[in-house]
Amino acid sequence: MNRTSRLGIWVGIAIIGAVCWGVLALSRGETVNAGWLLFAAIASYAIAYRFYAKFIQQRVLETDDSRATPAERLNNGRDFEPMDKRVLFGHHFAAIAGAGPLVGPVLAAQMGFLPGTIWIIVGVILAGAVQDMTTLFFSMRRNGKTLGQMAREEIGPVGGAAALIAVLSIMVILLAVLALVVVLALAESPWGSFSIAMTIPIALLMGVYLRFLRPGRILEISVIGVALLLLAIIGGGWISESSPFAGFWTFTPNQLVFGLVVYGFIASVLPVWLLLAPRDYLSTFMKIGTIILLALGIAVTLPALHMPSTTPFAFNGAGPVFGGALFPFVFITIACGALSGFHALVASGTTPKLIQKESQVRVIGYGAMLMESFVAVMAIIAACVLDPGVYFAMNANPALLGDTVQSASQAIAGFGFSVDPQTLTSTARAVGEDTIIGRTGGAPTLAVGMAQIFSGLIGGTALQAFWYHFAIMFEALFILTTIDAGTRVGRFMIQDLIGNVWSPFARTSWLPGNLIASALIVAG
Amino acid sequence: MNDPLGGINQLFPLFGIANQFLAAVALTVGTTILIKMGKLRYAWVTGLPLAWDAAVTLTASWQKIFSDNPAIGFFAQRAAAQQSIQDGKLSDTLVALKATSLQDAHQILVNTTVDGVLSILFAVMIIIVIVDAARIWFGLIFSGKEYELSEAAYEESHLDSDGQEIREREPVGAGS
Repeated sequence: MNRTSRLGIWVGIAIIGAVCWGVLALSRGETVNAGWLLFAAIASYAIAYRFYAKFIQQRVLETDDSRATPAERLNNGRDFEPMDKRVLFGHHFAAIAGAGPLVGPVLAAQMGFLPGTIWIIVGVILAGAVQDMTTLFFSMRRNGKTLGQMAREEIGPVGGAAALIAVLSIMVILLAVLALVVVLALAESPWGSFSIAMTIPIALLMGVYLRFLRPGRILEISVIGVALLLLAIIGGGWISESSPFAGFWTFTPNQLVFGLVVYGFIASVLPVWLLLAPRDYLSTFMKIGTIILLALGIAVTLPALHMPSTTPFAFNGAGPVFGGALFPFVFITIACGALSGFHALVASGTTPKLIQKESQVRVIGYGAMLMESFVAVMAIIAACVLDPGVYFAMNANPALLGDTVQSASQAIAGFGFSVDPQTLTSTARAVGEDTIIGRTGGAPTLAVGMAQIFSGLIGGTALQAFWYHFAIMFEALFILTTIDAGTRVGRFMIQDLIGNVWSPFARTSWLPGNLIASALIVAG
Repeated sequence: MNDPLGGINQLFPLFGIANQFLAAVALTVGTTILIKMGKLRYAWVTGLPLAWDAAVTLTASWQKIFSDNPAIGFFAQRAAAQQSIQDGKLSDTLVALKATSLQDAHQILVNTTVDGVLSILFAVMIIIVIVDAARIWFGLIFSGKEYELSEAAYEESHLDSDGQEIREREPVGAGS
């Protein structure tokens, strides 16, 4: 392709993006089609990746592919190892994409679709993806040091100590909250528990296959892995519906917590190529596959956004979902998908120890974050295609809604939206639930929204219940991969921290240190 | 764990702010390294997001700590819980915070104290990090002091762009 036609294509993309943004920004009163939002996002991402990320790579960071990365220099087959960039992209994406891109946008939708959308797209391009890419690069240039350790070495003892303590304690809070969300999503769900448990043996198989049986055959093992994964998902559906094993795969929250702790410990200690990376790579297939399917669903059915572009709650701070005004709380609520500090931990944890070439920080650091931002855009669309009355019935503080569809309908009228009790009952029935009132937390809303979009694509209303349960499981999968990578990152952090005092700990290959640090993190 | 107001649930309100504080640490480290690399003219790439993120997180913590609206402020919630415990009955404010018994009021009292104290602690830590880093930035910009980067030394790669080992290296033309 010559220069002029390439230029023409980029000008075209810029015009499409500008038109979509214009329609979104100028629409008043009438409902807006979700397609505008979808294409505004895609065009913005394409331009940002092609121009801004390239500018950062070449001018700001000056990546150098003749320089050996820590993965090559320090290769120990456990934490450090040059990894195929496709597998590493999968690992990195899976590790950064936790609950945030799904839950945050759903909650922020109470202020209308526009504030959240603008923050997700502008935020990721100028802040979130930049943070991920630069942190990955700086950590890679420092043998994969963790964020807190870099702060200590580059800023100084005072700022460094404050950063180390803040990073470690924040990390523990984040992991604990993420674990809570996944436990709540999987509790009493044999389908989710079975499918997710099966990803572990499949990942082990993929790891062994890629290392010993047929090294380098990424495509081959991807096909095998995805086929087995689909079997696990279908099998999970069968187990929960009609098999005698449903009871065996149904866990209480306490059993799940125990299982998570054991799994987190093992995943953090085992060589990264054996379990962690292939499992993340595998989940990424499922995550990106679902998101692309959702995007196709939106592009084909072109649903209208029923939520107004901004609601009064954006300004008066009295929203029934969470309190506080647009500034600063939209920017806190939507973290992953726009800007998330957790990503800096992954980008200075597992990924810099595995990256093959310096220039790959663009596709892995910036690219994976754009992908996650796209997930967040899908989540906000899914929440906003719902009837606003249904949205508030699901997400508002249950204490305000009362117990019956009638009281909820009345309370929602008080918020300035209307929904009749009949709609609330029929929506619940369509997805196979008894009630949708007060199903807070974001996941159920997203699942109902996704079920509506998917059922417009395949299967009609008959399959709405199927899609609903699929979406719930999908979300649990998202979060779980964050926890195993998070535990490993936590282990690196503790090793760096103690390594300041007693040096054998800083060598991540030193097994006792490895085990003690992992135990400390899962205990915390 | 099974208590809807206790255990990990008490940390949930901290989740968002804590996460964005971490981003501030990452962007501060990034800006510092860029300036130390002699790339002051590109420092806005991480510096502008840092300014925005610091404004957002510090405003949010301020409101979470000092707001007298119990839907927002930790200490306003704490006061409401204390009031209910003194009165021996749940106020409307406490019911809106999902309390169903006086037992819950005690739990809210503990939770909001922990959350409030932790958010003060985090905010102070982040301010220390940013101020300490700014000291280095300005020292470097105005006095032209030299700082050493703690980058690992350059070593030539033996992998090609597909990650395969380069078997034969050409003896001439490597340049170094």
